Amino acid sequence: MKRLLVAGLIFTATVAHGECYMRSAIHLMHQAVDSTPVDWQQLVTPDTGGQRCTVRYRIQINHNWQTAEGSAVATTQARACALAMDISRGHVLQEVTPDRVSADNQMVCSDLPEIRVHPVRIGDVIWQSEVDMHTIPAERKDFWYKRSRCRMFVERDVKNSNLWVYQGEICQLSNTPNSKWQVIDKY
Amino acid sequence: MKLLATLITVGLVGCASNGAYRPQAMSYYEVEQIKVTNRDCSRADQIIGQMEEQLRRKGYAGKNPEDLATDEDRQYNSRARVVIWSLRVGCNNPDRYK
Repeated sequence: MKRLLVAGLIFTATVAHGECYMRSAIHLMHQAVDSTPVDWQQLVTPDTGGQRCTVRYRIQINHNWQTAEGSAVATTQARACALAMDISRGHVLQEVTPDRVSADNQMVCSDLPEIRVHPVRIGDVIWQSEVDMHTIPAERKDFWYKRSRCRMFVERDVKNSNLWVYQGEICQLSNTPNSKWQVIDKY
Repeated sequence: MKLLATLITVGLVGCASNGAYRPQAMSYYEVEQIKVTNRDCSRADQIIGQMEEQLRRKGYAGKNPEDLATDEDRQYNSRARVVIWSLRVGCNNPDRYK
């Protein structure tokens, strides 16, 4: 009975050690990935294997917007898109892996329009990941203005060898999850 | 010389009477002195209105910063709008900075 108890304790300690290791890995991932995926795009096309689904979304890694993309083929659209999501998540995990020290260039061919950070003007309708997050952490949180969800952004502009950093506000056009945003002000 | 002075005077009066006269805006120094806190929320609309009026007087209303001519214009524009948005965001989202 005593031996059984000791064996049980050793087993518990091993399990606890394993859990701690796993949590540590998850925590690391959450430190680097700063937002939930936004600006979803999905394209489904017929394929010899059934349906090809390509998903693309934007996610913040270390406060920079990154594009995650995955593509998969399956007999049904739902299955293909679920697989594509898994593949895109794998790509995101590769991005946040701490031992990632090499840089590589990839040519990506896709029928989905590319979303990237670019200069905007007051009144422009954009995806939220087309502007950078605010440099001050306290200003990154969403806020409400005239019943719309809004957030602040920054934009860098190099003019005559001078760096200008503008800031501004964008507000979501509707409360639907993947709604676009409008540039309300910039200064 | 006398004629030149008269012409300049007439020209200035002409500008004022044909609507080109613009009420003078606050100076940058005056705008810079405006500091707002959550205690100003009760008169937020008044301060925002005052700042928007300065932007109109300076001709900056609705303009993008890259379209403004000088660094001074951009600084003034930015300072006034920071006051406006500090009140709009801070007063309507009291938990934001906690």
